[in-house]
Amino acid sequence: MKAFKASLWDRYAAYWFLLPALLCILVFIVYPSVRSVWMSFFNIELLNNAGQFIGFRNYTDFFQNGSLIKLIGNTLFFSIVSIAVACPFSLYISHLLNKPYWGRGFFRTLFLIPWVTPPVVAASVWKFILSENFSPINGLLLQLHLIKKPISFLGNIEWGFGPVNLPMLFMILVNVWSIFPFMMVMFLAAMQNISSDIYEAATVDGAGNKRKFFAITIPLIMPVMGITLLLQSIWQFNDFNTGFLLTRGGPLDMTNLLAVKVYSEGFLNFKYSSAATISVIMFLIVLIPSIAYIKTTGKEQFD
Amino acid sequence: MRVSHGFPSTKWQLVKHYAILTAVSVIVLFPFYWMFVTSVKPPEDILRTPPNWWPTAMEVVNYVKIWTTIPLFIYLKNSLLYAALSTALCVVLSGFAAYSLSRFRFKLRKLSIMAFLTSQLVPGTLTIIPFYFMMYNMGLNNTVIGIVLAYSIWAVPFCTLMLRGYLASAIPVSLEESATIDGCNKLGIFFRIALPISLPGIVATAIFSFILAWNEFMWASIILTKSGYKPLSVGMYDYIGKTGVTPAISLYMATAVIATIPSLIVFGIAQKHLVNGLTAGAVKG
Repeated sequence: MKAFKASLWDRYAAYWFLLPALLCILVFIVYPSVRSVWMSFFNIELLNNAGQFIGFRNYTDFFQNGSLIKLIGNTLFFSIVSIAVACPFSLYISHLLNKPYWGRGFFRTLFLIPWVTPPVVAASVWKFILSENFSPINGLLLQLHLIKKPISFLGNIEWGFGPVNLPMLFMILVNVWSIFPFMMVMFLAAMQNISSDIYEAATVDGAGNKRKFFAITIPLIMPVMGITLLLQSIWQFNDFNTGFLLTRGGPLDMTNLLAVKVYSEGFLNFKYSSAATISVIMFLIVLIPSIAYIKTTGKEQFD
Repeated sequence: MRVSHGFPSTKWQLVKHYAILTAVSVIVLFPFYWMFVTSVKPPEDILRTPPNWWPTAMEVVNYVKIWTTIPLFIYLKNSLLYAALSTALCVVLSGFAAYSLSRFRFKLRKLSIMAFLTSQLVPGTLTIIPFYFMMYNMGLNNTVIGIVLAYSIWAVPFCTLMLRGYLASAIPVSLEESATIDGCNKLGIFFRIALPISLPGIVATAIFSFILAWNEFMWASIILTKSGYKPLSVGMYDYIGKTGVTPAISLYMATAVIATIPSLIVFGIAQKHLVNGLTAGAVKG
């Protein structure tokens, strides 16, 4: 009997080891996701707990009144521009830190600090720095006589076209500050993996530093760069913290993002079905880069 | 592995190199400087426009006053408890799962890896409404179990894949085979061979999930609504919501400094492991 038990354990060991984590994911991630899709076909609200089946009306309503199109535009703009700015910046920093000069470990640690800072802390400090009345940036600009009255970086509603407005641009700036460390660390690791022989051969052939960077470094870190950018584009599209903690979508929805809208629709307006609908739309959009990500990393993970 | 790229290092290039790095450091670290400076400014300094770059006097009293202004001790205790427990749960779950996925070949393996990969990409907001109701129906709102579940399930996919990469590259299969011949069963192999060798990877997983839980805001804000259960992130958010930017901001910034320190300490102690663990999956070498 004991031997039988032991063989049963050893035979299915792979499953026993995997089961707890897999079960958690199925129960707490997969099931609620499916449930969100189901909820999006009902009109469940605070005072209508059971809800009635209304088919696709949540979806058609959102697209008819156009409010969601604006949020999708905002979210795409926010995530794409954040990455477009953070990528070359972190590429440049990691290139600097890849040089064999003293202090690279020190600077790498220093630059990683924003990444481990609590988002609540980061957002409130930035909010303070970018405020109208107490901002050191405004103070500096006023002292230098570059501006006549303080700018409300996160509250300006006078200038802007769609997602291109002052609060959005400064929100992206704050976001770049918090996401560049992750990208830098990935790029740096990829760069350190390149054999020095290649660079030496290039030096012998008379290639300059710029040439080496674009003809050797960039192509060789491309696989890592591709994965990092895909992952970041998904994470930034899904991002809740920066959007909620910094501006909460305001002023006038100018910086409102889809994730923030799901939260406010669900937990401030108590329109659960409509919140679920937005989250499903988010998932459908993010599915495109997700499939690309799974296809590229999957090969490696499966072997 | 240190690589010399044969960059000619003239004096001018060295100066330029450090000048750029210093400039970037100033920009990256300015918010921390401002946070600290504000936390020690006396009230009359806060209202000054333009604000002064250095405080006129060091007001350390803010760091004393904050403990009685908000229930900071309870917030800190809660944050620490949630972070520690979800780290433990996450390490156990992802450690076992990663071992299974890296060492065994079985029918559902591909599908399971797909599930982990997908969970890593799903927006948290996709599950937030149903998850809230699940917790509500099970009576897990405002409980330690509820928040620890919310934290660990979102860390598990990333940690499992990170550890899987580590285990696959770190442990020679031959070592396990000889252990099997010596009469070790699968669980014994896991604890006696896989676990000790993969310790650096496990440390990386632990730091990652600890920082994630310590910093988290969204899940805590919906699951923990009673003040006795709130972690520091939610407590701070409540506090700034009540006060806004006023002289009380210096008290708030003192809290911010206190909230940032644990993250920095944990990160500082083991950042090498964390960085290696993070990059090992993406960079093979």
